[in-house]
Amino acid sequence: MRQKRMLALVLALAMMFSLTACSGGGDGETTAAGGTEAAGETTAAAGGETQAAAEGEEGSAQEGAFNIGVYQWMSGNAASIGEEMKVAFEIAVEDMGGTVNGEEVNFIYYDTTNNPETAVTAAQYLIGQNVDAVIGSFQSSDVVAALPYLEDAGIVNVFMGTSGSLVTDDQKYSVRGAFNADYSIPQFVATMQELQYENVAVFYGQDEASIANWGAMEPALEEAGLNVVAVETGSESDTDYSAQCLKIVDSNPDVVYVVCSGAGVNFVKQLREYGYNGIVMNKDEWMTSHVDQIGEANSQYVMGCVAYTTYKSIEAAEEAGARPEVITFLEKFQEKTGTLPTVGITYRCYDSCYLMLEAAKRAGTNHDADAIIEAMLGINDISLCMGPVDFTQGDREPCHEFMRTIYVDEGSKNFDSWLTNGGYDAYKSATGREK
Amino acid sequence: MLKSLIIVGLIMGSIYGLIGLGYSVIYRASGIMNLAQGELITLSAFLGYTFFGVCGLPYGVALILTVVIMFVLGVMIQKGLVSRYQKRGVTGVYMLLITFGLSRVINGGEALIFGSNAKRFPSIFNVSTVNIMGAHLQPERIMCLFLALISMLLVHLFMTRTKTGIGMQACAMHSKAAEACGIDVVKSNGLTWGLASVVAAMCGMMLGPIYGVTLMLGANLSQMGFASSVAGGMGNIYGAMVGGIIIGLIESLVGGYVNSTWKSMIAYLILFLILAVRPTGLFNEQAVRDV
Repeated sequence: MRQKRMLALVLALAMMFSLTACSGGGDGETTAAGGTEAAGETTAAAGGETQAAAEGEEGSAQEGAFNIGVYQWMSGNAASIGEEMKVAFEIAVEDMGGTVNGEEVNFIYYDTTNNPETAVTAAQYLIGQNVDAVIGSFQSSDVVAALPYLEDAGIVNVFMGTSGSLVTDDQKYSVRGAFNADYSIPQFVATMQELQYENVAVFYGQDEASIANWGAMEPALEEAGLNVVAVETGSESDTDYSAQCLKIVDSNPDVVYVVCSGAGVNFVKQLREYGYNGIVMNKDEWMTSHVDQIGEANSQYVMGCVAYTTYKSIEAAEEAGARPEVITFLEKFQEKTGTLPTVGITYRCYDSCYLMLEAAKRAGTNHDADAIIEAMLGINDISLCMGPVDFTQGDREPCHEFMRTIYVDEGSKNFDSWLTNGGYDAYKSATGREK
Repeated sequence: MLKSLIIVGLIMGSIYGLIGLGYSVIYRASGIMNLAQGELITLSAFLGYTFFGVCGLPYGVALILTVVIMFVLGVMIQKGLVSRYQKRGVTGVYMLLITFGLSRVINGGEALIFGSNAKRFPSIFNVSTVNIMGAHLQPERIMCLFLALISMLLVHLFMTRTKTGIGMQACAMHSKAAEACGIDVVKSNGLTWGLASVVAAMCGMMLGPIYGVTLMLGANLSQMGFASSVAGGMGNIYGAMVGGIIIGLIESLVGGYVNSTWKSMIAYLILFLILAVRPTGLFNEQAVRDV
């Protein structure tokens, strides 16, 4: 009995240590907004004042505050995303003047641990906390799992997943705070046609967003008369994509379209190592963290049609023609952290938070879900990192403008400028490819 | 493409086999299933990245430092944690849970010390790819194949041809009888964990340059490594390697000619088949101690 008690104690300590470490990453004790962090669930009082959450009350809604629940993967491999998210939220709150409708903004965090089942638990926890609103996960699979519960509870929620299938007609309280990845498909296809590509190879992930995107891309390629010479798939847990790479290289494609949230980066590295040196069209932005992970050489010629991307410096962002809103956000982010965002998800976090606060402000209340969502769906006159926001086009989507980027010469560049300035000829010369 | 797939399958198999070797060493010598083996691999990769990628030490020096640190850590784990519970009579599923808990502690520690961002382990060689029979391969992958085979041979020779190795096996069979024969059981158990950690260090130093270093590196690959050691016969040194190569080849060929979605599923189905025909694995290794 004593033995079992000791064992239970050791295991409990082990789990606690592990979770605490994972949820915070480097300096997880203090959140960007000045709150404190506990295992799995955190609270942060944004708005400038540093507050230490009281013992036993962490993660709780506060009286007289605008309580926003946040469910997102922010531990393990995503710990740094969680840290950047909190900084983005803090900037959004400050941009709104520190308070909304006279109330401080109180964030209640729940780590979904890369597990949709935990996202359901998170939604139930946040509902139980009587939060006024929810900002949802950047992982579409989390959103799919949690969204029905939030809808049933009548809680306004802005989610950050980019899967096209997330927005449905029967939703009343849910909107996207990011871009719909399917909207970039026509631009990808047009680019393939512009570059006179004929043979396309595809690698898609097993996550919700990737499957949905490939489901939309496949008919678009067919309609455009492009040949799909190889279709391969893989998940993050596979780690090794040798067989997929070999098949794709063997099919000799003009371009490889990659849509894979987690595994895409490692796949691109391996694809390069197996001899493919052509253009990779990547569904998501090619982030600074991706370059750090697989190196400059492997990141060359990764192209995207995106709402935003990450940059190594503000000067590089300006040079690449980043939106003024992105530049402003980067300046504020750098002022707070001394660095720049390493993932595009940080822009999504800022935009989503700003949208939520703006909608509440326009509604004149933080506690009436119907009023907030009505105000949200009327927003069409502001511009955020994603570009001009327009919810009034009848699709419940805020973002309708995409820009083409390509990673080349140690940075993300504007694809159109790159083409105009002879970049494509230089690419053909450097790679020895005809296309 | 067949030649390329076979070469890739052999390389992947050798990686799985080497990972499986770590499981087998501890199981063979102490009867414990160490679920922290994957995390020891991840930790080794992080250490190697720090020495080689951050400090700029030569790869060979980084490898030696990592091996030494991991050996000491392995001994410390055995002495500071495992042996304490063993003395209290903790066995079987409880010991399994302790190693699982240990894996979570190591993972949490890695996140605290190294952060959660993926790290790029610099290439060891100046050339990015080499062409072997038409297959473009990273030279690190080729190195993996050879180092895995050499490691397997060295571990086998150590376990079967040296007094210490034979003593380690004797301790696993019957610790009291071994002690009566003059074998230092405490030292022997410590060496076993040190040796398994050295194998993990070799894995981490080889996998880092190929896949980069992430918190999930060891956990993801160790599933197949564990399956390899079971398929070959848990505790059998050569079995782990043969099991790994079988699984690597199945994955590669299924991924190449059938469907990449099914490669793991089919590999596991064949593993079931192997265990149905030979419940103690291909090499018919009898369980040292039922866990």
